[in-house]
Amino acid sequence: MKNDYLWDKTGSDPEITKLENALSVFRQKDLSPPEIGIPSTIADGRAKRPFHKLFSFGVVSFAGLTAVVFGLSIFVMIRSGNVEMVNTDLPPGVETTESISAAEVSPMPEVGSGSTMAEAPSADANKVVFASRKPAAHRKSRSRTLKNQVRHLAAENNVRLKPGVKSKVVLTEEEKYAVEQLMLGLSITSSNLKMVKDKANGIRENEISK
Amino acid sequence: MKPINKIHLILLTIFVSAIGASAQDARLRFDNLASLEKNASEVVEVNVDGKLLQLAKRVLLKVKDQDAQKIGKAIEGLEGVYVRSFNFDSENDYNIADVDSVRSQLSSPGWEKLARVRSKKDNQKIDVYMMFRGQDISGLAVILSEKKQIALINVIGPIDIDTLVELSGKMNIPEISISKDDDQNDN
Repeated sequence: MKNDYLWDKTGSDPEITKLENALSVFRQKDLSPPEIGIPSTIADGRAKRPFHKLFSFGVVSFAGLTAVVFGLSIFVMIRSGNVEMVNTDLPPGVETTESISAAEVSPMPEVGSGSTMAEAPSADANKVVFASRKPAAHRKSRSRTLKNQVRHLAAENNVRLKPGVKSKVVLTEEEKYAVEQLMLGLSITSSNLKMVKDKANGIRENEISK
Repeated sequence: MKPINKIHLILLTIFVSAIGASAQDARLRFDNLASLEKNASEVVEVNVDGKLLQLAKRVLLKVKDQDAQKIGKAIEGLEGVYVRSFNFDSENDYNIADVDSVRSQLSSPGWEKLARVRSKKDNQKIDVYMMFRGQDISGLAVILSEKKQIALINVIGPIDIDTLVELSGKMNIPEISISKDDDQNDN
């Protein structure tokens, strides 16, 4: 066997030539890379389904969820506007209290917080729910009493509660008794002094009129 | 003990006694009122001093109510409030001598007459006396007697009377008015 023929086909080698002729059937005819065939089902799917429809189910469900939560929040807002004002008068002598200021309360106590719909994109649901609320209210504790909610609503709606309705200062029994007794004594004293003053003023007016 | 220290001690004792005596002078004695209490249909007795008074003052200054804070400031230096009020069902149901015994205490030195009201129509007598310690008020006494009512009031310590009168009726308890109109309505 001559190596030159194998290397660059120079010269001749009868044995190699014989082998080449026998294997000519398997000779490569095209130098371009072969085509890789894609199964038809996959190819069709890619061609037929557009990109935005891939998430259709998620988008619809999210939109539906948002609408439901928003509707519930509106419903609660409307309902909460009809809460009856509560008179929180204290017994006499104990009403040493502070005036009402805008209380911190969640205007939407239990519903629509997104907590029941946390499975969906919960962060997004919460954002949508509280879009119409004051951001501060969202952060308030849900453990507020009904009384505080009433006061907050009164402040929001510029509603005046009855005079004497004041926020309570928690007093001990001894403090209550002390204040009651002191106010009773001062009330009697001031009544008498006022009477004396009125009489003196009345006499003065009579003298002036004369 | 050195003589100088003894003298200081004696002077100090006298000084302290004088202070204590002056404070006690403003206190009226409501001891002999048993007969009044016996005949009265309604009795109101108020004794607020010491820790009870301090507690009440603290509460008044603690709350954010404007009127309560005004009252708290008016009674800042107060040391005691003592009230006896008697209501009777019928006229002359008490012995005026019992009231005069209290009035007589106001003739002692230190008390100065501030106001005196006499009304024959209702047999009304009102006396207002004050005791001063320098320029400051150290005591107030009000004695009222009518046909069916007696009120004995003794306040010890400085008190802003103008503020009290101004806030009369705004103290969040029913104003206890002592008025001659009650007699007319009953008749």
